[in-house]
Amino acid sequence: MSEFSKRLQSLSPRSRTTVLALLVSLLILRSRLLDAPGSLYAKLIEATKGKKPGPEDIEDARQRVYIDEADGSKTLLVPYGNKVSKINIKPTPPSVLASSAKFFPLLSASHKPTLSIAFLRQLSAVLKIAFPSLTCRESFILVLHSFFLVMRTVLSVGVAKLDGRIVKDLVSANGKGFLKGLGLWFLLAIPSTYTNSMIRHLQSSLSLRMRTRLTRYTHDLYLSSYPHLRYYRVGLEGGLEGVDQYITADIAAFSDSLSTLYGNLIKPSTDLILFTLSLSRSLGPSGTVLLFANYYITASILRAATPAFGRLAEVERRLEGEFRAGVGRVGREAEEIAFYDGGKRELDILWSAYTRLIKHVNSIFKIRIAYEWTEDYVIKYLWSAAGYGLISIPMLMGRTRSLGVQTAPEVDSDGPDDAVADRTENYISSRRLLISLADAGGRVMYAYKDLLELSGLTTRLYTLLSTLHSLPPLPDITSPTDEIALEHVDVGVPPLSFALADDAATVNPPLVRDLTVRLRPGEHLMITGSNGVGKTAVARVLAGLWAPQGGVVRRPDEVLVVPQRAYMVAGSLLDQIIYPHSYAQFAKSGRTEKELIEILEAVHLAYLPAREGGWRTRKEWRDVLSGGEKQRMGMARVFYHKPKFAVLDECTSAVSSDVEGRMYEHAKTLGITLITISLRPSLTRYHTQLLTLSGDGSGRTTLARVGAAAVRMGIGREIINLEDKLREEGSWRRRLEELDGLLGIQKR
Amino acid sequence: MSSSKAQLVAKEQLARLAKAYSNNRPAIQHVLTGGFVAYVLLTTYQGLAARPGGKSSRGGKGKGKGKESDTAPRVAVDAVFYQRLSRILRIVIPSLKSREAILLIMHSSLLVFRTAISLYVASLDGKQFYRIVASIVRAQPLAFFLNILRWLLVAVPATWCNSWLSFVESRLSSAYRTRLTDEVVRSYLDDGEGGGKVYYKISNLDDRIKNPDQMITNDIQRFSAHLAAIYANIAKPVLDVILYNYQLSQNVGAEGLVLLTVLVQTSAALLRKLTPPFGQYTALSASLAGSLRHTHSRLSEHAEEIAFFRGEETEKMLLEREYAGVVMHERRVLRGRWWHGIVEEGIVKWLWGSFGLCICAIPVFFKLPGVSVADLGGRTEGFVTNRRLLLSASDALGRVMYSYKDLSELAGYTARVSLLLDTMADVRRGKLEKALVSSADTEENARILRGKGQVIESDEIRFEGVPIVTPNGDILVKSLSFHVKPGEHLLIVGPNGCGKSSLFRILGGLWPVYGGTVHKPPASQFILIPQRPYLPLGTLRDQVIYPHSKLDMEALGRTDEELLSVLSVVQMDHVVEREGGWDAAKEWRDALSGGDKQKIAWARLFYHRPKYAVLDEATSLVPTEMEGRMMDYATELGITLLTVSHRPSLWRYHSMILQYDGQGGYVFTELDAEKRLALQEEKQALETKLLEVPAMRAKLAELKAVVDAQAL
Repeated sequence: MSEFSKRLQSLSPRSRTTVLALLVSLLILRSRLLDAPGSLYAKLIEATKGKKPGPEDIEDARQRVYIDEADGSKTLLVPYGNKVSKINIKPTPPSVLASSAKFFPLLSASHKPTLSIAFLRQLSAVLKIAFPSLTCRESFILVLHSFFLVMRTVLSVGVAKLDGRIVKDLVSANGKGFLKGLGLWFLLAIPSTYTNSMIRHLQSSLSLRMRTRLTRYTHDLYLSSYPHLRYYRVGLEGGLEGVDQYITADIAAFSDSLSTLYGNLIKPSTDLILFTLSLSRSLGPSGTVLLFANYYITASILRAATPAFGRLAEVERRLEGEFRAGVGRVGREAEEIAFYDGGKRELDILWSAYTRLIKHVNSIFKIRIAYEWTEDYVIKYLWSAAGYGLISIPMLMGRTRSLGVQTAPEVDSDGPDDAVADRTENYISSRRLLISLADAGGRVMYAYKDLLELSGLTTRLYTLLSTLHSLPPLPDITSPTDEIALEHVDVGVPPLSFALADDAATVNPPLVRDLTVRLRPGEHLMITGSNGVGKTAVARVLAGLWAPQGGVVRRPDEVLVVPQRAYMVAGSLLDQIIYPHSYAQFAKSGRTEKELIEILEAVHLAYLPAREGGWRTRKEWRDVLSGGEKQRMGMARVFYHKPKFAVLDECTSAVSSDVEGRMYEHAKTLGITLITISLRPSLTRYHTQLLTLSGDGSGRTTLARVGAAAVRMGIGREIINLEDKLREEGSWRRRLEELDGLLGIQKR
Repeated sequence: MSSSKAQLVAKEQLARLAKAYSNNRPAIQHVLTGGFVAYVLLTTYQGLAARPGGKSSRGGKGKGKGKESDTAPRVAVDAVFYQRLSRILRIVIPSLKSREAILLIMHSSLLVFRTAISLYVASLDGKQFYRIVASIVRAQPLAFFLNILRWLLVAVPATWCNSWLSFVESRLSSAYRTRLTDEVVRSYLDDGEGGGKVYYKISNLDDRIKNPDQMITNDIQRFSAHLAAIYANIAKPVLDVILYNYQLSQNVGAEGLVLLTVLVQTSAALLRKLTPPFGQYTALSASLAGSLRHTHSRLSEHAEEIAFFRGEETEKMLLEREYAGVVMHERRVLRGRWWHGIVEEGIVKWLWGSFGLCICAIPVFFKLPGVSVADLGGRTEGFVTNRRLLLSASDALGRVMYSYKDLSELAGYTARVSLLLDTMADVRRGKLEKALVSSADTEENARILRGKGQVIESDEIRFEGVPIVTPNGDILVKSLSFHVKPGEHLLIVGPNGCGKSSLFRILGGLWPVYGGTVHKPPASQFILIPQRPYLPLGTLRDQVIYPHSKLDMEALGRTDEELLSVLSVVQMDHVVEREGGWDAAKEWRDALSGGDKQKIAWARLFYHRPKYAVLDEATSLVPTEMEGRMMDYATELGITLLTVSHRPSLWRYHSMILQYDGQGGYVFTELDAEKRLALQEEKQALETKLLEVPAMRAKLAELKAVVDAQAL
C-alpha cells in the first residue's frame, strides 16, 4: 500500500488524477463486470432447467391475460418475443388517488403555458406522482444520474489537460512523452466512455420509469370503476377530447422531455461552473471577472436579438391547429360533404387555412436568419475571441508572472522554443475548455427552449390529471333491493364538471321530466318514443352513467345494459361472450365451454366457433361479424351473466323477428327482467308495462300497463265473459295477420 | 562477408526503392488521393443504393394480393423506397425551373461555400494560432489584436453562410410541403374523373388508411422536413470527408491518410458487426406503441358501451398488458444501447482520436521526403491545422454513418406518404380494399359481391334488382326495386341498420353498386339533410349557400334579400340580426341549437332547389307545425322528397312507401296515410288484446277451479 502511494506520489499531479480516475472507474465497472457473467449464468440455468415455452403456452398466456394474486395485485402475462414474462401490477389504492386530488385544482380556461409559478406548481404536482417517495427507485436513479453528470464534467477537464500535454510533447518532438500521453489517453477513455454511456442509459431508464409511474397512475385514475367511471365521463362532463393522445403520446413526451431537460440543465451548468473554475486558475482574478463580464455581455446581446419566438410559435401552433382541424372536419363529416358535393368548397377553405399557416411559417424563417446569425457569431466566435483575449492578458501584461501553469525543470535549458511549447500546452487546454464553455453556454440557451416545451407538455398532462380528478363521483344508486325504482326523476345531459361550480344556468334542460317507474322482478318494461327524445338517456341513468338531475333512483347491483352499438372487445371469441368478465373470472366461476355453446345455441350463433376456428381464435371481431351477429352476441352476454335486470337498448334491430322473439322468451325463462328500448311495436307483447316518451319537447312520459286490468264482476258473468273473449281469439289472430299483410303490402 | 555484402545490396535496393518512391511520390500521392475520393463516393453509393434481394420483390407481390394488413409492411431503404421517393420527388420538384429546384441549387452552392470557408478557417486557425502565440511571447498586443480581428472578420461570412443554409433548408421544407399538400388535398377533395369524393371513400370504403387527416397534416410535414434535411445530411458530410481528407493528405501525405482510412474502416466494420438490429427494434417499438394507442382510442371510442357493461377492469388489464409489452421492449433496447454506446464511443471518439493524434505526429517524428523540416512554429501551425481538419473529418465521417438512420427514417415517412398517394389513386380508380365480414364467404353472398351494377343517368329515380351491401360485405337487402317519379314523395321506414341510409349512399354515388340497374339524376340534383346537419367553417351566409361560395352566389345573381326570405320561411330570419349580420363567422356547430341547425339545413335546401331531397330524420328536433310548413314549401318549389322518419305525423305528405323489415325483406307500395294510420291503431289494439289472452286463460282456469270447489 505504502509503495503504491509512493508510486502515486512519484507521478505528476495530472497523471495522478488520471490513475485515480482509472481506479474509480474500475471500481464502478466491477459490479457490471461481475454481474454480467452472473446474470448470464442465471439465464443459462433458467434456459436449461425451465421448460421452453411453446406456442401453446404463449397462446394460453394471451388468453389468460393475468393471474390474480393473493394480495389483491395482479400478475400480467406478457408475451414478448417467444417468451412469456410476468409483471406484477399493484393498483394505486383509492386513498392515494383521493389524497393526491388536492394537488390538482382545475386550470382556468385562459391558462397559457408559460414559465411561471403556475408552471412550477403543476410540475411539482405531476412530479409527486412520478417520484412518490425519496427512497423510491426513481429517486435513486436520479441521484446516480446526477453523479455521473458531474463526473463527466470532471473527466472533461482531465481530458482537456491531457490534450494540452500531448500537444506539448508533440510540438516539442518529445517522442517518449507523446507515447506516455497516448497511453494515458486510452486509460482515460475507459471511465469517460463508461460515464457517457451510463448517462444516456440512466436518462432513458429514468424517462421510462417516470412514464411507467405516470401511466399506471393515469390508467388507475382513468379506468376507475363505479361510482367514478372517469373514462366515460371525461369527454362529456370533463370536456376533454383525445384522451388517448394524452395518455400515450403526451406522457411519453413529458417523461422524455423532463429527463432530457434535467441532463441538459445540469450538465452545462456544472460545465460552466467547473470550467470557469479551472480557467480562472490559469487566468487569475481579473481574468475571471472579465470572463463573467463576457458572459453578461453576450447574454444581453442575445436577449436583445431574440425575437418573440414564444408568441410566434403560439401563432404557428394556432394556425397549424386550424389547418388540422379543417382536415379532421372533412374526414369526420365526409358523408354530409359528399352528399352536398362540397369538395370544392372545402378545398377552398382548407387551402386558405394552409396558406395562412405557410405564410406565417415562412415569415418566421426570415426572422430567424438574423437571429441565428447573431447567435452563431456570438457564441462560437465572439466567445472564442474573448477567450483568446483573456488567455493572453496574463501573458501580455503580467510579464513578471512565471510562464504558463507550471514548468518542468528541464524546460530552462532551451529558451523560447520551450516557452512556446509550454504556452502551447496552456493554450490548447485552455482553448479546449473555452470551446466546451461556448458549447455549454449554447446548451443553456437551448435548455430554455426545452423548458418552454416542457411547460407546454406539463400543462397538457396537468390538464388531463386535473380534469380526471375534478369529476365528482356519481351518486350511488345501487342498494340491496330487488326492484328498480325511479321516483320523480329528471333526466338530462350532465353539465361540464367545471361549469357546475360557476353558474347554474349552464345546466342542460332535462330531456325527460318527472319520471316515476317501479319495477319488481318479472315486470318487464318497454320504453318507446321517437328518435332523440331521451330513451337512451333513461338507460344511462339506469346504468348509473348519468346522475339524475332530480329525484331518487334505486336499483340492485345486477343490472346489465346491452347498448345500441354492439361492442366487441379485443380478444378471443370466448372473451366476446363472457365480457365484461375476464378469462380469470371465467375460470374461477367454474363455467364450461359446453355452457357457452348452449348459450350460443340460444342466440342462434352455435355455428360461430366452428366457422371461426375455435374458442381461442383472435380476430378483429368488429369487422368479422355482421351486424346481426354482433347484436346476437350482445344477447349471449345477457344469457351468460343472467343479471336480475337487463336493459336492452335497441339491440335487436337487425335480428329477424322470430329469433328476436325466441331470445326474449329465453331471457324471461332465465328469470331476467327486461327493460327494452325499442321502436318496434311488435316487441310490446313481451312486456308488461309500456313507457312512452313524448316527442314534443315537454319531456312528459306516459306509463301504461300492457293489457287492461281485470274487471270486477260476478264469477259466473266473468267466466262467460272470458270464454266469449277467448273464443274471439282466433278471429283476432286472423285479423292481425290480415293487418300485417295490409300494412306490409298495401294493395295497389 | 557475403552476408554483409548482401546486407549492403539490400540496403542499396531499399535506398533505390525509397529514392524511386520519393521521386514518384507526387504521382503516387495523386493516385492515392484519387483512389480515396473514389472509395468514399463508392461506399456512400453502396450504402445508400438499393439492396437487391428477396425483400423488395416480396413487398411488391404482397401489394397485389391486398391482404398484407396483418403483417406490418417492412420499411427498408431498398429499391421500393427509391421508386417511391422518385415519384414523390417528381411532385415536389416538378421542373428544373421551379422554385424548389432553384432553392435546391442555392442550397447546394451554400453547402460547397460553407465547406470551403471551413477549410479556409482551419488553415487560418493554424497560422493564426502560431501568430497569436508568437505575438503573446513577443508581447505584441497590436499584432495580437489584429489577428483576433481578422479571425472575427472571417467568422462573418462563415456564420452568415450557416444561418442562410438553415433558412434555405426551412424554405425548401415548406416549399415541399406546399407542393405535396396541394397535390394531396386536391386529389382528396377535388372532384375529378371517376367520381371523386375520395375523402369519403378513403375512410368509409377502404381499410388501408385509418386516419387520413393525420397523414395529410403531420406526415406530410415530417416528410418534407426530413426530405429537406436529408440532402444536407448526406451531401454535406460526404463533401466534408472528401475535402478535409484531401487537405489533410496535402499536409501529412496520402500514405498516412490511406492508413488512417484503412484503420477507420476496419473499426467501423467492427462497430457495424457489434451493432444490434436497431432498425428492427425501432420498427417493433413503433408497432407496439401503435397497438397501445389503438387500444386506447378503441377504449375512448367505445367508452359508453364499456361503461354500460362495466368492463373497465377487463379493459384496464388489456391496456396494462399492452403497456407492459412496450416497456419490456424499451428495456431491452436500452440494454442493447448501453453496450453499443460504450463500444461506439470507445471507437469513434477515443480510438479515432488517437489515430488522429498519431497522424498528426507523422510529420513531427518522421521526415517526409519532399516536405521541408519544420521548426517549432511550423510544427505548431501544422499540428493545429491538421488537428482541426481531423476533428472535422471524423465528425463528418460519424455523420455519414448516422445519415443511414436519417435515411431509414425518411423511408418510413416516404412509405406513409406514398401509401396515401397510392390509396387515393386507387380509390379514384375504384379499386377498394376492405376487410369483409365472415358471412361474405358463403356462396350466394360471394356471388352478389362479385357482381357489378349499372348506373344510368336519368330524370327519375329507379332501382331495378339492386342489392344493398355495406362496404364490409354485409348484405342488407339482396335485391331492391322501387322508383320515384317527380312529385311523388317517398317515405322510407324500417328498423335501424337495415339499409335506409345505405340506399341514400348508393343514390349519392358514395357506395358502389353491386348489381342491377340504378337510374338516377346526377348527384348535383340531390341534397341530403341528415339528422345533424353539417355546418362548414365560415360566415352565416356560407351556412345557407353551402356548398356555394359567396362568389358563386353573386355569379348566379342571387342576393342577401333572397337569402333572408328563404330564412324567413323556416323562421330563422332573426338569426341574421342576432349573430351580427351575414358576414359573422364563428364555430356554428356550437353557436346553433339542434333544431336551428336542422332549419338552416332546410333553408339550404330552399336556396338550392334541387330536383330531389333526401331527408334523414331531418325534422326530429323541429316542432310539428314548422315541419308541415317546410314540407309544403318544398312541394311548392317542386322538390321531390325521399324521407326517412319515425314520426307518423309526416306520413300524410307522402304518396309512396318503402318499408324494410330488417331481415333483408322490403315492401314498396303506395301509401294511403289515413288508412295506414287506422290500420296501425287497430293492429296495436288487437295485439294488446292478444297479450291478455294468456292472462285471461289463467284467470278462467282459476275461476273455474273456484266454481268447481263451490260446486263440491
